[in-house]
Amino acid sequence: MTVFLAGAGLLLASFLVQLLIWRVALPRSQTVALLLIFAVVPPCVLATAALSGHALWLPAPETARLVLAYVAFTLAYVVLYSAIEHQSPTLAIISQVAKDGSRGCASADLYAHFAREDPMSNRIEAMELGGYVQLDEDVITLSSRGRRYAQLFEYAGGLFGLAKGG
Amino acid sequence: MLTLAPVAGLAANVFAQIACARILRRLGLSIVAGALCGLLVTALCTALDSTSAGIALAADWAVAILTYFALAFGYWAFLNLNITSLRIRILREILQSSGGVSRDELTARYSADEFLRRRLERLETGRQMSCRDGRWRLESRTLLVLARTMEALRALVLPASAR
Repeated sequence: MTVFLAGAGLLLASFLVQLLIWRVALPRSQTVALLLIFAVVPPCVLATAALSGHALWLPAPETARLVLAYVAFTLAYVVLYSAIEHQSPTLAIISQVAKDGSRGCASADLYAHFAREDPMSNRIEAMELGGYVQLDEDVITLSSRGRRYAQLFEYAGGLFGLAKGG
Repeated sequence: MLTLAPVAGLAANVFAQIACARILRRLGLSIVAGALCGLLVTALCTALDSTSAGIALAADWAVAILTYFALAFGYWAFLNLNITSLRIRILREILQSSGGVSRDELTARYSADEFLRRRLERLETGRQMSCRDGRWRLESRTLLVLARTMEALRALVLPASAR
């Protein structure tokens, strides 16, 4: 029971701190800030509780369960947050079609709405900014970081039988 | 064992998904089969090792199952990136080319129309939408519920200026 309540409490505390910071000033690198908040808040909460005479003492296996649960939920939230930060194009299409109800949404309207912007440019810029690719004149090459990621997904694509998506 | 139940579940999920993807050659089905297999292993490990009773037992189960769901969600997101992410596709295409790729070449391969066409095709194949007489209609509300949930989360988390 203690693991459940402590895990829920620590996750809620980290989430509330994130909401507060986001309302004051939205960080430039939101994912990094999120990881930092979720790493720093639990030790602070536990230290504050200990100083106020409510220290949380758990046996080693219970501590391991708490840490595993906290880390798993934090990582799941970070994954979910990327979809909060940038709206998924697929979900945007679904919302647009839902607006037209049973009448349906004309193909031409969908293309006029979603095929206006070049999908490559902003992604290439974001990847250059994130240090995944380098632009030399007009030629794009992978940085060492980008190469590691590309190899990981290339390997995973072969292992899990996934065709190149997009 | 109780501590490692969600990790054992995740391992079972990964192995079952890979095996099903290779045997059945159906990705969607392999993801569902893997997730169920992992859930079963997590439940078995929890049932075999939990010595609590009453509310404490319910809490043990909740921690184990919810932790497994969080880990399985991460794995699903990783698989999904390979399927839907344009950035991952770009990285893989550059990796496969020897001297890099020109921006024009990438743009020609993947225009805005192509970007939308692929998504509509996936939605139609997944029976989420259908197109009749040139008009698209929703066939399932699953993704609409997800879209509304994400909109609510965006409203909760992001300040108005960033939405």
